[in-house]
Amino acid sequence: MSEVTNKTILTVENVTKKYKTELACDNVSFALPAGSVTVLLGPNGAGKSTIMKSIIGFLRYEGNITVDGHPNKSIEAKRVLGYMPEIPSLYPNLTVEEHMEFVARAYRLENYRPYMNELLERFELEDKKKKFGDELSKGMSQKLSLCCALLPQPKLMLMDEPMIGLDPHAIKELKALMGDMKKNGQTLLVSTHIIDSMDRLWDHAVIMQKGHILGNVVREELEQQGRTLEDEFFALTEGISENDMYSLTEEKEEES
Amino acid sequence: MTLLPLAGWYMKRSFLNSFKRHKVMFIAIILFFVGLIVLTNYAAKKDAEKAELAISQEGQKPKDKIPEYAEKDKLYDADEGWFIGVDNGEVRELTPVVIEGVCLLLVLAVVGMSFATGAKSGASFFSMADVNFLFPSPHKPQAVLSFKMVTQVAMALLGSYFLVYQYPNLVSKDLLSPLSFILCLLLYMSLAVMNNFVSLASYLLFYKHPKIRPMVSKIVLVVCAVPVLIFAFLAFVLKIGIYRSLSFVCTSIGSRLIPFVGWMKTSFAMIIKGEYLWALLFFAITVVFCFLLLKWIFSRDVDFYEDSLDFAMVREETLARIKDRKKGMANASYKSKESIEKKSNKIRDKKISFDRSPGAKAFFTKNLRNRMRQSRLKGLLAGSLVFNLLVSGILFYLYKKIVDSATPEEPIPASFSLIFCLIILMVFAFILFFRSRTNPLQLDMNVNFIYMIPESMPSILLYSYAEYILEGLVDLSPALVLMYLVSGDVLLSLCCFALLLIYFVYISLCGLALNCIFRVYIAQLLMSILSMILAGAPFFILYKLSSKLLHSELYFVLGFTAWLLLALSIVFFIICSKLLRRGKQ
Repeated sequence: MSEVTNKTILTVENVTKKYKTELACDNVSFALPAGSVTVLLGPNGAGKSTIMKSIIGFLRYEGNITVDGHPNKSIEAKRVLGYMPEIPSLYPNLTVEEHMEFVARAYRLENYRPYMNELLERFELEDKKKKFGDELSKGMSQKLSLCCALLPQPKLMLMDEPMIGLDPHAIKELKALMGDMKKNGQTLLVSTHIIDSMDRLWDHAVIMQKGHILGNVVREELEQQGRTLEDEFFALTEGISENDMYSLTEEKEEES
Repeated sequence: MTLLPLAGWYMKRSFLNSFKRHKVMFIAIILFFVGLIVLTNYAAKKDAEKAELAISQEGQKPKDKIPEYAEKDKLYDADEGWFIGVDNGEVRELTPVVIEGVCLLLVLAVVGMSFATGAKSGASFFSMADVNFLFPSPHKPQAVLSFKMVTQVAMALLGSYFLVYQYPNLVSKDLLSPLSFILCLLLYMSLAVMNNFVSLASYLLFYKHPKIRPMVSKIVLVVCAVPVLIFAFLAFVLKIGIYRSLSFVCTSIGSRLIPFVGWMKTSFAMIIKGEYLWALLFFAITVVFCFLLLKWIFSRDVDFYEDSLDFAMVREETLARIKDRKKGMANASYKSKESIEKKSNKIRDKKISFDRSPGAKAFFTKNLRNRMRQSRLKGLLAGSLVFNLLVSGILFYLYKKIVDSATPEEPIPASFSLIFCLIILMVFAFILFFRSRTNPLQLDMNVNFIYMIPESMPSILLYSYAEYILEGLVDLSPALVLMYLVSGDVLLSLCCFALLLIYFVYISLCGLALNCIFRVYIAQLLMSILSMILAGAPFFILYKLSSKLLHSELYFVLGFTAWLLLALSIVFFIICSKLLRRGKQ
């Protein structure tokens, strides 16, 4: 089993992104150790997707981002990176199988078929190989998008809200797959606002709000304090301590 | 350029799959164009037969012959030269100049449009799927650009191929030789391809200058107007004569050496004239220029991903809305009709108000408010009205100039005012056609909430159009005044005005219907061709009928065309409301 190493695979340094006048990310900095699973947590509009899109190279920003020692927009960095978007978008006139072939051709993968079949089987898409992109439901599209992102077996995988739209079986498979990826030494950066979804998997958590990083949490440290990620999240984002949370719950119960 | 094989594979798969899936649609389109070719061929043969008959009867070549309608029809009894102020001897010399002038205007318009749209939305041709699959792949942005460029070029080539239907029309009438036609078609295809490069180059020039980008289209408009302004200055201020002014603008060395536009228009003109060597020379210069342009495009360290992402997201949102609406319809079908009606009545009883206007009337109020917000004097003085006033002013000035130039030796024909009225009609119809391209109703129909309003689709459309017609009434008022000033005939002016107003509605309904039917299935270019055919058809009928009829029957022709347009508008209205109700786009 692979463990979290000291080697840093992703470095985000002082990244600032403005959309016209709106500041989406302000001086964001963090680093990911290789082989770790990091959760990017935050409420809606925290800037999680902006950071993900900046890392993958979609956006123009101020600051530095390096992937495996290379600038994130370089070809070397892109060979390492994989990306699963928040909203899956497919080519309407390509079938499920052809989408995988498209990715294999774009990444120049050889002997990709066995892994492709494994992924399709795992996410119950095997019998839908001949379905076209616009014939798939949102959940199916999400699954195919995930399979396409996984096909090149990237060292660093970015997942933007991966659980949304997936059925319980797919969520279970995705979690198992994340565990497998972690075992294989692959690094994961998962953006989500559903804290429970990454409960057993995470090693690190970056908590964001309104474009700022509020905290950088390490699982071991938190567990030593006997606290949960949820406690830490609310403490940082809403300034609510553990005791406050209990009293709030009691008040609600009394009212009801 | 490492993504070129992938582009080839993608296009092949996409085309084959879409053919398999939409066989009926493909066959319908092919049949439509075959029908068009047959029709054009038939019309061309008929015309050729007529011309041959005329030659055998009079022993004259068709080119030298005065058109037969000019002899019997009082409406067109003038000879060819008087209208543009040249004597009859100069008329034949004028033809090559006019050809080159038309080529100049066409190329300038096409290239200008590409340049302007390139600066505004040059990176917009990427879909969200491209963004998700290609942008993260280990390739340089230039390679990603080449992928999309190849697919765009293929679409442009496919689009221009449909112009083949003009072959019988142009060749049978001896306007072009078969070789010239093929060369013209190839040149047009090259222009369509090169336009993509121009558009992209324009984007790369301005994408780092967000303040300049919105101004580019205005600058292009000014540049496009320069030849017309030079012509007007020479002809009307310096008074060097129409023929000489036109020659200076269209065939002078300077106009032929304008980069890209000048070279292209000269190639076109030379092919039409049959001077192939010159055409080849200018085309070669254009190709070299484009090659250099491409080298420049691919040598630039360009970061277009963010702009492409923005455009793709907007497009994706619109498509998602359409998809959601389909789902909404599907879900609704599970509910009983009764429960839906009950719910609708409940909502209606609550009187959902939009500026105190319930139901479908809200669209009337909303559009009226928009108009009032965007223009002065409570919505009366809008930009479109100012533009129409300007055009009317120019046309009236032109009319006065021509009337003043009349001498007792060369009087102006009595029917001139009527002909000028019809010209005004055509000019405003042309303006309306372009205005309908940015039809606010199409934007309305893309909005999700329209399908949630518990009102019937025809009534929503009707209220939307009521405001649209009101706008037309105000904006077209300068045309009415101008037509009255020119013809002095109240009834004729009102007839033309009514015709324009109906055309305004017809053309926007045409656009909406085409958008509903074809949006997902066929390319934008093909849709533009179809809309142009539908837009031009009524005026072709008007032209054909009016050239055969005498002045006294002109009201009948105008009335007939208006009724025809009205009937077609009603048909399109029914089609639109049915398609929109079914959530089909």
